[in-house]
Amino acid sequence: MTDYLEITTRKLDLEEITQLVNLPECGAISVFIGTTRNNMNGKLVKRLEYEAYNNMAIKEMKKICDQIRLKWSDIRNIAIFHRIGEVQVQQSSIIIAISSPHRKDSLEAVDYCINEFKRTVPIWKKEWYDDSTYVWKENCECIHHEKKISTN
Amino acid sequence: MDSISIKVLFFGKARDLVGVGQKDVDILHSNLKANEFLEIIISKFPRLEEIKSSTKLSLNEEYVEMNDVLSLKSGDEIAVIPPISGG
Repeated sequence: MTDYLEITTRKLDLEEITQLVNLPECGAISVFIGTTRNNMNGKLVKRLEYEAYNNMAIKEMKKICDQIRLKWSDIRNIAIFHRIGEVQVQQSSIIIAISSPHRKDSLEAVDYCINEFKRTVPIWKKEWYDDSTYVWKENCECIHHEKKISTN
Repeated sequence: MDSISIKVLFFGKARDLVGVGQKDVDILHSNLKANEFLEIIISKFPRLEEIKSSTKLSLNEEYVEMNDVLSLKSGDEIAVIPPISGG
């Protein structure tokens, strides 16, 4: 049972990442691929740039893996790869691959993993539009938006 | 009393507003709340006022609550973490 966690400027390789979690006793590898969209509220996206707080991002990814293994006991390997730097439209920004003997566990775990990732992992996306403006995006599910409903 | 030197990191919009990704900041007291530390940072970089209500801080790569009292020592690393957008 291994966690493969990486933040990289390289183009993500789906085959390489799925092979990391491929094990003889596993009948399922569930994969999520996040790709970059070409439009946001009607504006044309020219390019995207991601940046990460690398060390903390890896720590937060590891916490998600630990939670997954608590919630689903039959998970084998987990791979979470996020690309940083410039990412072209339609390219992958994140690939998550999780293996398990039976599909239900890894399918559910992948869904949990991407939701938690968007909530806690310190990575930022800057969207450049064709009118040369840009916006730092915010995930609607991110931890920052939770404090407003919590009580102190 | 000697001042305490904290390594402060800025990411995303915070880095845009500050103009640098990293700055050493000296503080006089080791025990202060995260939001008090943020006020000190904002006094040095007033443009951060814009994201004050939405930002979070981390201490040595762990999130802290803004009400938490931080026990700081020289060499600690605090990051200004505006809303995230990974994935």
